[in-house]
Amino acid sequence: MSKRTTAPEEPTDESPGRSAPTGADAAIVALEAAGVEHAFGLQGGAIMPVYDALYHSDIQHVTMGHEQGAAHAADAYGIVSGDPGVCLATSGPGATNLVTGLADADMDSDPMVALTGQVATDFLGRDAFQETDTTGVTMPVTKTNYVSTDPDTTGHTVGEAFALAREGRPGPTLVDLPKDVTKADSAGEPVGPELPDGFDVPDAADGETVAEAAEALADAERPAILSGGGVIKGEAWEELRAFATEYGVPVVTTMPGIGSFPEDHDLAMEVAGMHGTGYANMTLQHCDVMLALGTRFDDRLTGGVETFAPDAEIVHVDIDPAEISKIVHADYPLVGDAGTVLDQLHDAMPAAPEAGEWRQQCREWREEYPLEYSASEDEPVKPQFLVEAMDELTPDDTVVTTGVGQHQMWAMQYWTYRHPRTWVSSHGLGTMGYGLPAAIGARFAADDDQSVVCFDGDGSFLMTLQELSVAVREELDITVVVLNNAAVGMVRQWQDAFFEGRRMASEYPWVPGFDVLAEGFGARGFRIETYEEVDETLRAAYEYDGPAVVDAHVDPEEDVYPMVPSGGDNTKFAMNEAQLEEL
Amino acid sequence: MSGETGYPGPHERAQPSGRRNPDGTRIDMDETPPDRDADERRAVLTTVVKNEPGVTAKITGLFARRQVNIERIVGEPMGDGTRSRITFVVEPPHPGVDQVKRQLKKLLPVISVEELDLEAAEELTASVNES
Repeated sequence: MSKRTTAPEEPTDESPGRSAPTGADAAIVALEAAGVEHAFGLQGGAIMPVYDALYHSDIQHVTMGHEQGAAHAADAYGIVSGDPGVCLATSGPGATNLVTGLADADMDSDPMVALTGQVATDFLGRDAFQETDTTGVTMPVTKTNYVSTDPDTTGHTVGEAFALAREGRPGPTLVDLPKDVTKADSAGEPVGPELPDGFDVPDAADGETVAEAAEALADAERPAILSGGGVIKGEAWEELRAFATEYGVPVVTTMPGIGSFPEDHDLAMEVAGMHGTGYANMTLQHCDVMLALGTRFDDRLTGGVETFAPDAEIVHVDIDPAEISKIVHADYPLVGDAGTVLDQLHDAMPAAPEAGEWRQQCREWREEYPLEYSASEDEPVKPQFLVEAMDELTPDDTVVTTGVGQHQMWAMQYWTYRHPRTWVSSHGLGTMGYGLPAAIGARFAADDDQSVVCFDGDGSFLMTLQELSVAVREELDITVVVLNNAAVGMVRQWQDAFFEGRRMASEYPWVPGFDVLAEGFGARGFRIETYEEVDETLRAAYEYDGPAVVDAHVDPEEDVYPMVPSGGDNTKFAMNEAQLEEL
Repeated sequence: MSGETGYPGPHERAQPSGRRNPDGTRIDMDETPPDRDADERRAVLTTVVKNEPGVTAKITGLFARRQVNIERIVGEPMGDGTRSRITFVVEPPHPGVDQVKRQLKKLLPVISVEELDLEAAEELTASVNES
């Protein structure tokens, strides 16, 4: 069927144009100068001049269903491409709808630029129609934000916002654009993305501390690396692999660090934390020197700080000085770029640590605490089985996006990630509904021959499923697998564990047929209810060249293990319900 | 018990011997633990900022978000008026004043952050009171 009802009008020389560039033109030219190829957004009154400027631009604009979707799409675009994703929204509700996506990007340090329309400067502060104090509202959830009040400097401001979003520790920036400013003539010269004067990002770390840290690592009996999202943002995965393999150091990752080290490597212990692997947690908990790279020691990673890796001296490498000793005291603070500091450490290592026994111990933990679940033909399909089956079916470089909840944990645990920028998820903010718009953003950023798979939960999918219309309209080849347990499963799991099974507002007595819903949107819908249907159905959905949704009915009683209760001791993870009861 | 599944139970596993303080420092088991309240202290931070709309909101917003209590604020323009000096007497919670300084330095309009001794703060506020 035809997905595009009207072909976009090609701009021609005869298109109505303007004689002089406006503030809006300056904003768009600044994006073009920064190399922006795609933008995600929605129209609206105050942003109309900016969209009018986009009319003449080569930037491909993707009209989303909701501004939250635009923000998540831009966020995912930034994760997969490494360059800031761009989203646009109008003033008032358009801007406030972006807030969740901005907060998500801020928590996960994802590069992103938001342009918001604003009422004309004459009306500012007078409660005009669709006026919101956008910079006030977004101040705590952006790296920095601006109101552009002078059309001559609008281009410069947008360029600076772009440069800042990506530089150092990445994050979201926002430029609020009052309508009179974007409509007015602009005398500003086009400029590329420029950092503000005096903005200084550390590169190499202090040499003396590097030498001390290298000595501590070389002397370690039980060294471990904790690789965080900063290794991916800093594109330091080659340096990480070189260091870990040369010195024989087991590598644990954080969730945002997934893909920074191949999970099928002999030294890979995979993800630590609340639902991390038992062997990752045992490795971190028992190490005596931890090389922590680009991580902010989130509480879902550390559990209780008092019991977190309590024997370990911490070498903390981070580009943001404010992360040093914020949560866990750094014995060796190394402020700098992950790749540069890893090279410094590599060169400074006096010897490899003698850690053969330790590596053997880590391998034994891997045997002792395997990720496993029981699957029986006469029971409902286990969600973990679907994740494994999809992994089997798809190439190694497939990009996986997720919503938030149980399905996200299973997608993290049972898929083997081998490449950076293939795991796209909402970590710090834990935003349900992230998966589908993220898949759309990821699809535009990924290589054409790369596959994009979204694992979602039924609760999560319902929060942003209007974005399916975008996937259909844009003819995007993405496969959404909804692990449908008719519940907000993670809440249900916590109610069973910590609220004596009182399942208040967590189970859905009825959920829509997502396969039928998908067909209604113009996507292909599939349904799985038994193990027999899994292979064939997943294959058909995956091979469909366009958006496909698999409504996979899974065991509603399945829980996520291992699990460390909130604030708990990471050594004391529960492998199953019986062990949880022991805690 | 988890015998039936074969995984060692949470209490059957080897445990690390150490411990950390709530602020994440390792406790040296041979020494008496330091008094944690001792370094919860007042501090005087003086900032030089770009004189632009919203800069005070950016700083006080940061303090509010990070649970830093502001005891006193003194602000005044400097030189040609493109910059201002704002001085704060604050009571930061853990992880303390260094964390506050680092967070402040991340704010774009903040040009510099310096910690003064407490007497300097008294003099500063006294001079404001007199004028």
